Amino acid sequence: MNDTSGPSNGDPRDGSPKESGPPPMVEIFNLWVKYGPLEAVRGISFSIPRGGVFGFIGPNGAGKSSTIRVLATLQEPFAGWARIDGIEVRSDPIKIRRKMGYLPDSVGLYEDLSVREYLHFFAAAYDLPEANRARLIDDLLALTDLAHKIDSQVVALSRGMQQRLGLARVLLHDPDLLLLDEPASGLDPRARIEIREILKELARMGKTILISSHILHELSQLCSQIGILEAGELVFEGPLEEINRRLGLMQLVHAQVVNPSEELTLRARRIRGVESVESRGDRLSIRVRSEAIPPEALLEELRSIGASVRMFQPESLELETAFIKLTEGKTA
Amino acid sequence: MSVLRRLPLTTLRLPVLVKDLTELAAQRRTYIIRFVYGLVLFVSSGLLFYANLGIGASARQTLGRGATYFAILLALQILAMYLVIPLMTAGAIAAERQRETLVLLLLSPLTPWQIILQKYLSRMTPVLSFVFLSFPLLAITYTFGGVTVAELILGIVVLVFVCLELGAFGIMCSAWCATTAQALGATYVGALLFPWFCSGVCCTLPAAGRWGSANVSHVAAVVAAGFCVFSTAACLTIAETVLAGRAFVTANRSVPPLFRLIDRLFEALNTVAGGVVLLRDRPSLPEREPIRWRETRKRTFGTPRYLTRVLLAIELPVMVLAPAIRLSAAPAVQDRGLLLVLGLTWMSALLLVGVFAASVISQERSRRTLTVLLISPLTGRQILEQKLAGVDRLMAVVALPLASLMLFEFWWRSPTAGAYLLLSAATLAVYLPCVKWLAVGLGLRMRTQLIAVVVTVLVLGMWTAAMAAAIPVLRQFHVDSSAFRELFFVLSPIDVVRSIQRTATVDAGSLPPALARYRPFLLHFALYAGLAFLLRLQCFRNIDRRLGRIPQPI
Repeated sequence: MNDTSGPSNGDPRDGSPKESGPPPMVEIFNLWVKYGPLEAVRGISFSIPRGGVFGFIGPNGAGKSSTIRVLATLQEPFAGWARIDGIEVRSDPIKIRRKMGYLPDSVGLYEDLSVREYLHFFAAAYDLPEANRARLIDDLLALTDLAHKIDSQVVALSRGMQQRLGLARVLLHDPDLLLLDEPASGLDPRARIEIREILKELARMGKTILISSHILHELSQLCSQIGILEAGELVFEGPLEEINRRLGLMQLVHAQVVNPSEELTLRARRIRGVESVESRGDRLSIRVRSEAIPPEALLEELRSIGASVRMFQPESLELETAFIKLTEGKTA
Repeated sequence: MSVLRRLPLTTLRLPVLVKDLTELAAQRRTYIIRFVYGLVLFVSSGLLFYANLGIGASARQTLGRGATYFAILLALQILAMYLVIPLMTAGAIAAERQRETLVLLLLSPLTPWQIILQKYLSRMTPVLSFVFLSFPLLAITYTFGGVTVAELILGIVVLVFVCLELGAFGIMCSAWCATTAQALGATYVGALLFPWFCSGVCCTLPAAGRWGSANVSHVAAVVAAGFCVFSTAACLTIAETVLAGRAFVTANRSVPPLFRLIDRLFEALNTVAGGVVLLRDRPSLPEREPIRWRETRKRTFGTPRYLTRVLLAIELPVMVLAPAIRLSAAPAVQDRGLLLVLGLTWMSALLLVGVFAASVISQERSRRTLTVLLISPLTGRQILEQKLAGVDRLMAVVALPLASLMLFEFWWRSPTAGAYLLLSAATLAVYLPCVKWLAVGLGLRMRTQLIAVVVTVLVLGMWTAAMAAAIPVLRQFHVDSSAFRELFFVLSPIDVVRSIQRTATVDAGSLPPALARYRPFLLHFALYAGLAFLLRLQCFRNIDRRLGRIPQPI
């Protein structure tokens, strides 16, 4: 289980020579994780570019957490290899721990500490400069909207706040890579939205994020890349649009027009890539093949056929449909 | 047939019982535990039967000894049940609650009575299989003579009733307590605090001394059985009554609220005393070693304030009892009394150190906080060393009452008893670290805090009992050479402590020359110091893997 053989550089899948420039933030090649006779992860390979947001989807027991634990240096033994920022996780785990922040499914809070003490505890664990700690912690609490709770006991925080505190802890040492295992699990809608907004902000800041979740709709709003895992195997990996194209999925676009009419609806149906148009009052629900026409082009086409568009909102891709089509509900 | 068809057969289906027994049957440890239990029972019975007279004893020599053997065997089996039944019953309901499956059972058509009774039966089935293991041995005691058939049957009935009663008490605790750990503690404490509870034991053990004369009070037995049935039914009824009401009770940490209560009491007393504060908790933040900071500033048993209370709770009785014993009784009684106080203080100290050392890592694992430590850049060695800062403080605190007792003895006996003082100091320097590293090693291997603590206490208890029993048993087998005696002396901390205590009381002139006198002590301390060193080495070896993360290549 300690096979570290594999391409020493370049593309993990073909062993091609390394291109100039920095390596991808995450590279996994032919990863196998076994628990006794159970093969939890079966030879998966993928990579995440710097600044990418990778959504890990799969039923319970598919191997998502095992894969994340490999990257978090918590899983041993395993076969194949896993690199973060070009460093194999087994070659220098302490360096890897400084490069990544991991939020496990259980946040890991000390009941006897306050929010301030909890963050100072981990600031000391990461040996951050003492002079900067207070300011850094204030900034992180502001980012996670917990500044007003700085002296509260962590046990007194709501589940959503505890999750945000976990995120603040993950960000303390300013890691390049965030590994988030079900960060929205068990949260109410408001808390989920808050977490999602923080993650969007982090993505804008250039952090590379690997996130596993069951809430597919949220992943589709956040991720640049998706990996669908089933029974330990990666059944799909790529951008959302790629799934859409491969499966021929439709994208739904909602539009509000100032000048609704039968004629406008008919003309909209004749636009290339449009499958169907439903009209209700001034609202149009347009189903399009996204590989045939991107949303921006559809807006232009609508305007060109005389629609005076007041509101235009493409819905995220139908990830749930993709998930159902690509998986059979098997577990490892 | 029509009558049979009308029978509510669905009520005879026992899904909870079937599921629990199936689970039990599928676990390998069920068979291992049963085998080990049977092995220990049969070996100890073999020693009991033949130790007095040796294997070559004639029938005439063994005749009539059955009564004694029967009483001892019965008492041993009851003691074993006191140890086993809480372990078997504690998780019956509490584990379902922790897994959040209890509420699903309550939502099913099963009534609370059906759930409780099926849970009770599922636990009693393996327990009774342990009891049945001893039946052939009880029958053998009958062949030795001195036991009547009525006494044999009565003994078996007592044994079964004790199991049923204690099992029902365990189920009641499991239904009441939020966690398996709390239920286990409550069952053990309940069984220890209320020895009257096992009415069968109360009413029949006095009779056990008279087995040979066949003077068994049948009336007492019937009364005992009646009380047993009543208390069993009462426990199960209470369990049934609280089952639904406590289905959602959460696991509050019980120690901090208790300590807060004691804090309030002390503050109230301090108001009377003028508000003097000797130890004030100062707010602080971690600077360099965060885990050490938390262990010594934030954990209940790591802070100076609470450690002082632990110290006073052990030190005060010791300091009152030791002079009281020395001043009041005859010299022989004084020595025995002092040895008892020393023994109890050692037991408290070793248990405290063992339990806390076993918990340092296993508690983090149980509370799911270990992962966030493991992903920090701290090395495994740093994590363990810092985690043990609180245990080291506790060790120093529990060593103080022992040191006080030893200094008192030194002062009382003779100002020239330097050897006593040196040897006593060696016990402190060797035993406490040895227990600490043993418990840490076990805690590193166990998945939960509860298992780590139980295994540590069992290992300590079994080693102590084995060492205490070894020499008397071997003597019965006529293995009594001086070499064997010295070997077991070197192995046995109990004999060493007892012997050191004697060195304070024996006139130095009557002792053998120094080297011969102290050689076994030196060997003993070298052995246990070496053991402590090896255990420590073992703890730090592959520490990252034991903690559950990828080790840093050297």
